[in-house]
Amino acid sequence: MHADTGDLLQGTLSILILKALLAGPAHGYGIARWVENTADDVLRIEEGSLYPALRRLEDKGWVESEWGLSENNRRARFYTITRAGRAHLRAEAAVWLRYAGAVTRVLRATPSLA
Amino acid sequence: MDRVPRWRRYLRFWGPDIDADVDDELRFHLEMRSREYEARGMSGAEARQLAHERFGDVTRVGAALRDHDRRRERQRQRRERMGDLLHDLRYAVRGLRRAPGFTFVAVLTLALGIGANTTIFSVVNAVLLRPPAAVREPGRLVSIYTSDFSGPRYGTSSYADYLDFRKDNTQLAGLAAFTFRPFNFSTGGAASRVGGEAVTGNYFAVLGVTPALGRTFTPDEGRAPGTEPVAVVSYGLWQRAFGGDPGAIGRTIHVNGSAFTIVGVAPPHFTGSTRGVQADLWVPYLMDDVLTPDSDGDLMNRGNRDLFLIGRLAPGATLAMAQARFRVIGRQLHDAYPQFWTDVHKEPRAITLLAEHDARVIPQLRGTVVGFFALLMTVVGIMLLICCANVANLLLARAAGRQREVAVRLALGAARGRLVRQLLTESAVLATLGAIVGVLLAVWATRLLMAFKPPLPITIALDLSIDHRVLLFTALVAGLTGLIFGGMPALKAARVDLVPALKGAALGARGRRRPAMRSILVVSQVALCVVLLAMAGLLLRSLRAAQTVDLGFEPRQIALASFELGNQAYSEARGRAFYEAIVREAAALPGVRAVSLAESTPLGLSYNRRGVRVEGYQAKPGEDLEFGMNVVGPRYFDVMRIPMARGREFMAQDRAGALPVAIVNESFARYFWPGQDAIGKRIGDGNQMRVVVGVARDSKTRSVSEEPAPFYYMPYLQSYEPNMILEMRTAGDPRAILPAVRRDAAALDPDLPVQTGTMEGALGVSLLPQRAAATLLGIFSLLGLALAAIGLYGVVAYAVSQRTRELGIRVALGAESGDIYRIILRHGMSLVAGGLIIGLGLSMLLGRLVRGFLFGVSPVDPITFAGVAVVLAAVSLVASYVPARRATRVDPLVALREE
Repeated sequence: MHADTGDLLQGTLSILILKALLAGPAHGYGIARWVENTADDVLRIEEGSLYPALRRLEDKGWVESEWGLSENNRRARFYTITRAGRAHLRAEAAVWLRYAGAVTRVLRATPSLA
Repeated sequence: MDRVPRWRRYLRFWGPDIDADVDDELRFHLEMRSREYEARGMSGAEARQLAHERFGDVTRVGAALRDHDRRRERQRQRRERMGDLLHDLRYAVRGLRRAPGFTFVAVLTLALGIGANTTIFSVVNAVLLRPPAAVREPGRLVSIYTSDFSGPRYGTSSYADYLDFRKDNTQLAGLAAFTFRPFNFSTGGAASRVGGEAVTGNYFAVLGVTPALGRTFTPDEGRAPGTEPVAVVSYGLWQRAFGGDPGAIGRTIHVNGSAFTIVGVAPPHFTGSTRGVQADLWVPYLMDDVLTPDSDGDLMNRGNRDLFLIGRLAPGATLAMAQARFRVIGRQLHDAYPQFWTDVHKEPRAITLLAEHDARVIPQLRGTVVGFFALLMTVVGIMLLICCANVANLLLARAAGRQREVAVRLALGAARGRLVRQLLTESAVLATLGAIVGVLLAVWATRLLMAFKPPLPITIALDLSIDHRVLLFTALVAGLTGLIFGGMPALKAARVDLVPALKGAALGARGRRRPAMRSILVVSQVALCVVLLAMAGLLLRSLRAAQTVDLGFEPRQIALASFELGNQAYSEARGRAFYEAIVREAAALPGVRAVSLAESTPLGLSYNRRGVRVEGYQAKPGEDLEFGMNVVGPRYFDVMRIPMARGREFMAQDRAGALPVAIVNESFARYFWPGQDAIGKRIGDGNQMRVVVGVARDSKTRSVSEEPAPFYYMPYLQSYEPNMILEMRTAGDPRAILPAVRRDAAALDPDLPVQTGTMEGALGVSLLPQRAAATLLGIFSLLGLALAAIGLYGVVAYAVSQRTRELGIRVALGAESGDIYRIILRHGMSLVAGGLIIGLGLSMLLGRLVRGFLFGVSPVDPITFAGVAVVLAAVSLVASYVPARRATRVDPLVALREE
């Protein structure tokens, strides 16, 4: 069900979290679910590293957190992406897409040693 | 503060509970996950199990998060505190700027108090706390004392003993000896007097003093007596006498008339080894015979004790170990030389070691010096408290004006603790400003002090500059000051009653307690001021008493000129001729009534004690037959106006070769020959017996407070001394003839240094500590009085402004202005009466501090206390009269309309 490359690079995890938060404030579980759903369960967030990653993002000022009530009326910590977080996401996403595009192009190319 | 994330504001309300928050967050995650699994059809237990597995090590992650959050929380708090502090500071500075008058007066008041404390402390620092300059590792230095014959422990040692102390002493890395000497110093022209030290060759090495130029002595210099005429000069003397010329090394100078070669210049701040006294010249101790021809020429005489010893502890040795070693040495010396090592009580002499920091002041003087400083510090401390009370009063008045503002901020939700902190910040800013200005004042005051040259035959060398110790003290004082004057008003201000204050309401309702507190301040100010005035009054009365006491001689109208022929290598014949000539010349001066010579002046710095033999008198065991004595010329008693009780005084015919004579005082006669006639009795010095030809009335010799004690006089003509003082009884101002005396002396010997002065001036020196204390106390108590008067004025004026309405009604109802005066003055004077009673009580308790400095006055002298009460009452009357007068001018119509 899940990819063997489940260990996401830390930088990648950051982008995924920030991307998840673009839709609006979310708690940690919500972020994890969103990523899983969006990636059709191909990407699976290592939950043990999700929360430390959120703390790091908070320290960098890319997300903020606040206690609030969850959809089922439970007390939960909600994370919001900041303006700096959006800028960072844009930059990192561009790098990632360029990288992924390059890897894709290489993989699709016909091998020939010119 | 915009950058603080929103969640932090949230945390501030509940207070962060990091553990619970992390648990909640993780538990929420796990529950959501297991609910998800349950929705897919798992059992509850299975779902929870799987959710945990999926998450990984919950405990470890939780711990990591908690660590992280705690660290972040600490950072946040720190940043917030800094932010608050900055905010408070900015707020305080803004507030003070808006009230420049208040700020100026408050800062100036505090600066006076803090400056006075800093100044006095810098003196204490210079005398007691500062380690010696230019000396290596002073903490390893020890001073070594041999007990005196009469018992006291901290006596000097002899050279022979010094050599024995040094012999295989494993506890000391080095042991040096020195003695302070005034020298006549000249580079060829006229000689000047400088302080110096005769030292052993290893002196500089033991102290670890490296020369600024040239070299110091080698250990061999001063091994063989009289062979090494080399000298080291101080940096200051090098500058003065040679303009800092490096070519001074190798130059020949004259010390007490003998040629010496300069081999080195001491480092700039090195003053020698006597705290407070500048040594400008160092010569090998074994040159002493050359320098002082009248010395008995026997440096190795074990009984010749004039050396101070200073040693450096060997590596690993402690003071206790060295002391133990010296106990053994002392016992050995007592066994070997019982006649030299037994004291008057038949006990072996003791050797005592003191660490360098305990020996900065000569141990015999330490008690007096510490007592003197304790008195001064108490005085400036009290002065500072008065200043604090004044500033507190100002702050209270200011707080009254700000009550509305405080109330509004409280109503808007400001925490009272936060407000107190803010007001305290204002006080801290004031205290800091006060401290800065105070230190500047202290710099100025210490410069003045250092420029002051007391009429002493030595150069004072005290480094009064402000160093880290003084600054630390000032910071402490300023901090304490801020708390004292700021604490009470701040607490008070934050305890505002909201409703009336917000309504802007009436003075009466909220004012009740405030004047009470201000009254307390005024009462304490008055009380402290009374203490200062009482101390100052006691010292002044004591000075008066000391100056008007019957000294037994008449000190006014005596001119003095002292000569040290001994230091100028005069032979006895040349010396006698010189004194004969100078006496003749001085007697011929217009305005001079009588002239004589004396070896010392009474109540002066030097004092002679010599053993005496009394014919037919058997000393009781342990009885000390050393008495004060003076060597005086013919007509001495005439010049001094000391009446003769019996017999005659010394005359010109009591010369060498004639019948040896002596004069004793009445106490001496009573002690040895009670009920008999002293005339014709015989007393002896050395081998010669002398006939007593006169009995002089008792007079003061060492201090004005002494009890009469046996004292005797020897005739100069039969007992030559090289260093004598010319005493001239004048008809008019004795200072007028001093230039003529100098001219006469210069005509006889241009190279001879002369010191001139008056007997009254010389007596002044003996009263210098009392006079300094009285002057300082006088200044401080007047300042305190002014501050207390201002405080009183403020309180009474405030009360008048508060009672305007009441007074208006009274006037409307027909009160006369006399009634109004009575009401207001009664208020002011009741405060003063309270302060006066407390203050007089305190003064009685503190009397012990001044007792040691009092002469002829009880520490609870009723006249002084009554005088203080009168002065204070008079000043207070004026201080409350001014506002009272304003009260009588109250127009009832205006007053009643005011509200």
